[in-house]
Amino acid sequence: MSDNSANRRFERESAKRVFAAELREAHHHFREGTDDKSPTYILLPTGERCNRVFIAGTLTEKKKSEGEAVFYQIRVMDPTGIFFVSAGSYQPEALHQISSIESPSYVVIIGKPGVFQAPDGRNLVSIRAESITAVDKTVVDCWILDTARLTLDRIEKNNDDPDHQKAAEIYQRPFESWRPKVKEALASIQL
Amino acid sequence: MELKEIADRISEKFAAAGHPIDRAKLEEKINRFVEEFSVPPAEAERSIIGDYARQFGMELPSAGPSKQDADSVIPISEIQAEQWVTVEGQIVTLIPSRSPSVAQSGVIMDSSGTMRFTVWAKANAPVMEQGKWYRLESAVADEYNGQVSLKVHSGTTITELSPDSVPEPVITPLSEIKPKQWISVEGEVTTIFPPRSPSIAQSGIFADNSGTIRFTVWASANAPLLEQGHWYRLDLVESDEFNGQLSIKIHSGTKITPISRDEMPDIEKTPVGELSPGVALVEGKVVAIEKQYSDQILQRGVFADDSGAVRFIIRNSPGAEPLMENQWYAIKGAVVDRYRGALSMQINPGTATPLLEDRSIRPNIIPVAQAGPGIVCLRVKLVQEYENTSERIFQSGLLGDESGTIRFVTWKDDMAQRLVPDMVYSIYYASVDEFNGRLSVTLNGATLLPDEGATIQVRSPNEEVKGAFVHLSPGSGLIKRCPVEGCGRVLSRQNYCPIHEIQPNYIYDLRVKGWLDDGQKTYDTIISREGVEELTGLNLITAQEMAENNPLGLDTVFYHVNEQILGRYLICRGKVFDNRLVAYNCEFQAFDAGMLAELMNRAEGGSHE
Repeated sequence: MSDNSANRRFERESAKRVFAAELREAHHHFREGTDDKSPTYILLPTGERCNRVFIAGTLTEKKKSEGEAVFYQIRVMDPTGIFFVSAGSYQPEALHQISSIESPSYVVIIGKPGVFQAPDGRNLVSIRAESITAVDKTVVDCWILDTARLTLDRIEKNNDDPDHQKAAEIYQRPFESWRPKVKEALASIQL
Repeated sequence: MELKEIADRISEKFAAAGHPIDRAKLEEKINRFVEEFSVPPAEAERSIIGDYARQFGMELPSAGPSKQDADSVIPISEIQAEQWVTVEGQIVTLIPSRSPSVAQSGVIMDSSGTMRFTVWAKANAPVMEQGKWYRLESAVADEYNGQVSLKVHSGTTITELSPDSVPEPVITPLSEIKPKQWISVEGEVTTIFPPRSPSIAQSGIFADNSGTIRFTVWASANAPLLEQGHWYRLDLVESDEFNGQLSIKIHSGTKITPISRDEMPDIEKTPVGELSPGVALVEGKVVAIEKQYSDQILQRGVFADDSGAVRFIIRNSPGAEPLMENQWYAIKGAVVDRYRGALSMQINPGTATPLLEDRSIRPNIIPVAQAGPGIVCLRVKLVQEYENTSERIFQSGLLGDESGTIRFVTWKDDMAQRLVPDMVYSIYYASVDEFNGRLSVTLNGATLLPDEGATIQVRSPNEEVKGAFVHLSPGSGLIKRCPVEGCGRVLSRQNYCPIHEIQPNYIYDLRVKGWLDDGQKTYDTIISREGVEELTGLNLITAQEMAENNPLGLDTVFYHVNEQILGRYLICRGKVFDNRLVAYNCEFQAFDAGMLAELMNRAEGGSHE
């Protein structure tokens, strides 16, 4: 980053909370502005753009590919499905953290989601981890509450919101249809 | 039992491949996944198989790609490279061919989008005409420099579509234009700028009820000159975006139709508080006249009705006349624009008619927290005065009410009025600007009425933020501060203070710098020593010992703190200013069972399917 940008006020994009089931269905991605450095977003089916996500769950699989560069592929499971997460040499912090986490473990991950096309034409959403931390079950449960609340907020968001309208157009799926997923996630919490 | 079956399947699978697995270890593994981490058995099986396969260097089969057929018509916006496609669209431009191997090239459009196309000379295809619709069967899409384009070769069939199968052009409201579209629009030419390049015949502003947009008429379009103040329908203009600003381009394919007065859409009267960019009919009162700053501007001021207020501007053009303060006017065809987030209304010559009646206006006083760019009325007191950073500033500081605080500035002029600390003021028609995401009120031109004896409890800046700690920045953990009295700046690695240079007798301190994120907003957060000690159980002495006894030095403390708080939910209390949070007191969030019950009810709530 140049000195110039350090003087400017920097607004960091907030990390959106999203369940695996919803993130998996997201496929619309776009760039705000024409600049090479302008941020890219994916549009969540419940109608909010996200450029960064905060997710939690159980790390169930960790694959390391050794080649020219070390690269990890990870599966993380929340109560609604699977997140695909990766970390490579451009994410040194995450790379370092992942190397010492074994599957299965509870983890939280902050990262950037991207949409990729599988060879069979399906869209896959994968998260490039910026950081990953092993946590205890309480943190995951807090995350489920937080994500449930914010997902309900999106479902119930008023219809004037442009992202909300765009999502309705693109995904052709009623926002209300996400409610059972939220219920499912909340029900998975064992007290 | 299910888990046993999984173990059987896995061990058989690997035994068959010549890799026997320790059964006890396998069962323990499955148990760990399923019992301890409640991973569904299928996912556990998948994961464990993957692990062993990698361990033994076996390849796992993956799903193969499927094929797509190219027969049905596909929307242009969905075309991807390396695809055989059939499209139906209109030729919106033809670009002169620069190579003998290319017969025609240009842009084709359908309702979903546009795409470049090339017809190879070898294709022997019929010549397509600009403006007409065609069906292209079995064209191939390819990609060059990230841009997908369509190639017509000898295997492609081109058929002209009959006029009745062609969709009727729809008028796009200006506010709904997106870049890179070919569209039809209707509106008024409100302003014409002198062209700045010989390739441009005309440029200016085009407006309809929904908004305004810049337009450019290419010289190559050979279009008739557009006249200011007239309405036109423009078919097949291209929308474009530059530096975040949208514009429309009129080129040789654009059809320009003047619209007469009776065809013009009626404009209804808009309350000032509901104005948006575009052309509007408004009625209101001139409540303030500002001092003007330039020769090009005849007058600036504030125009208001009961619903709100807007800044207005009259340019110094022939026939322009100033408005009178405290007089009501009806303004026809006012052009509303947005600048730095605030609306501004341009009044053109001959469009303002004085009204005889004088209705009373009750200025609508709003809480500071609701103030946004534009004209506002507030009831506030001076909370803090800043030192002047510029000779042009008369007074600046922070105003506040029960809802929050906002910056203000009064520039030097002969009417400038100084605010007295702790005095409550009613401020009418001050303008709020947004700069770098921060709001600021300018008091010049506003009416300031002191209310002696009144008191306001300004909202205390001590607030609570709950969120996840998503990033720990460098400069966190154990840090060194400059010992010079009144400085206390954080020293860099070489014990260097930006003001007092090398300081070998530094003072240690603990802090956390980073981002606390509630899912909607991210706070640039600094947690003070007290807060860090509370969170991590680490105090300054133990942190110092940690750093001294470890080869990593100060970094050890950074990693230790990072491990404890990154990705955790925190509750922090302190001062919030814009998106900055200075926290003195922090704790980890506990699981809230009451919240779970509440959310369960809420999730239940709307599902009637």
